[in-house]
Amino acid sequence: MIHVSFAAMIRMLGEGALQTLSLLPFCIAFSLAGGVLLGILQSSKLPVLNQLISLYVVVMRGIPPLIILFLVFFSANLESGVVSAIVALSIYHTAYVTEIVRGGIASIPKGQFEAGKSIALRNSRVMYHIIIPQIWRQILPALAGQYIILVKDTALVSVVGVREILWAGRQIMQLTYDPFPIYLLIGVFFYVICTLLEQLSVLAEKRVRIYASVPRGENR
Amino acid sequence: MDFTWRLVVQWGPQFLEGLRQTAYVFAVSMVTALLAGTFVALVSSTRSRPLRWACRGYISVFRNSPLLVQLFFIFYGLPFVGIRLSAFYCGVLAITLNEGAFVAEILRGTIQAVPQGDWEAGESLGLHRFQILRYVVLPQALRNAIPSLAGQASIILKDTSVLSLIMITELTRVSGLLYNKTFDTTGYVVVAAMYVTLFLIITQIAKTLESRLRVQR
Repeated sequence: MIHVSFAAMIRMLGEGALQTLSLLPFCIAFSLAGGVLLGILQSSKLPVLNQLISLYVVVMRGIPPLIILFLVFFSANLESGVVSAIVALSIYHTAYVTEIVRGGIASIPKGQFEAGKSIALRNSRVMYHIIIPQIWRQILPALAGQYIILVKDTALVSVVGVREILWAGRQIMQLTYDPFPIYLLIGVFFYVICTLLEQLSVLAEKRVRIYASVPRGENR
Repeated sequence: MDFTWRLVVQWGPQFLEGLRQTAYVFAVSMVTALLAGTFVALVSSTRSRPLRWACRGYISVFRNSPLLVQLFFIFYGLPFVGIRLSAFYCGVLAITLNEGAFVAEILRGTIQAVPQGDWEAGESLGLHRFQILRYVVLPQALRNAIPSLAGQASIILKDTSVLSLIMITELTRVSGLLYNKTFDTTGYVVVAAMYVTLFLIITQIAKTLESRLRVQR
């Protein structure tokens, strides 16, 4: 048994936290881009594509992220745990973001679409210039909730060898053989990241609300 | 991604055993999570401030940290302070504590959504605060919570896959064992299909329950 000082523990877990935090922007960006794209396609009522996207969403909602992670890691020949983790988590969370975006688009009054059409905008232009800018206020809380789930799902990626918080914790445990304080500390690390994200979303919601409640001179 | 039908047949009994174990863990932890969540939601709608704070603390801690960490804490950490539980009970305990917080949060929302007039009506009938909760508010709150609870049920189903990491031989671990023996990802595909099927069954049950319990107003 080797004694590891508290400061050393924090430092090692902090390195793990950096790895976790460096996964997040990629997963968030990919799932947001994919989700918005699929959400738009889903609300434009295309016959076959629509069913395919629904199937994808249902399948992803049914499969545990761990299985998706293993499937990607063992079958896609990516050779890197980090890349498979990003791919797997993005694939998984894109489905949820798709649902959220579809809901957001459905909450915009139909008159907005008609108004866009009546000034001779193409469908894609209506989406890009009129509908999508409006959905953020609506979907921000749900989106933030989803990304907090994403943070918690990153705890799983240590099973494919990504050196994140949980992995760092297990390394320390192999030195000290005392799991009790280490898992407590790991929990604290995740708690802090999730709480920060939550506060960030509250802040963003406020910003969006202020922005939306001050019309910039035009008729709303 | 490889898929070999031969392996599906060969490992049939193991898959069925894994399915049984997954269904068992799911059923047990679903019930305990519902009970824990209802209890916490009830306690957090009492007037006592310390109790409410305790509930908020519990919900906040367990909602904002990963299930896997809680599971490892219970499985590896608790024996060091003298509490020894089997892997199965560790798994159920972790899922219960984790999902109990989510269920409590859902029910807290639906309890608050019950109109104030219902409380006053109960009081005017001379019911005790607890009786109002038990007979007037909770039945409505539970019924309104069914869609959210169904979503949570499907998350609990997915949570059970994490138990493979503490050596419980449920579906995910069976597919892992198959991969370790054959380097063939068939197991993951089969198991994924089984999870989706279970998910669809849960969704269907929730839909039926919802339409059965709908009240005509």
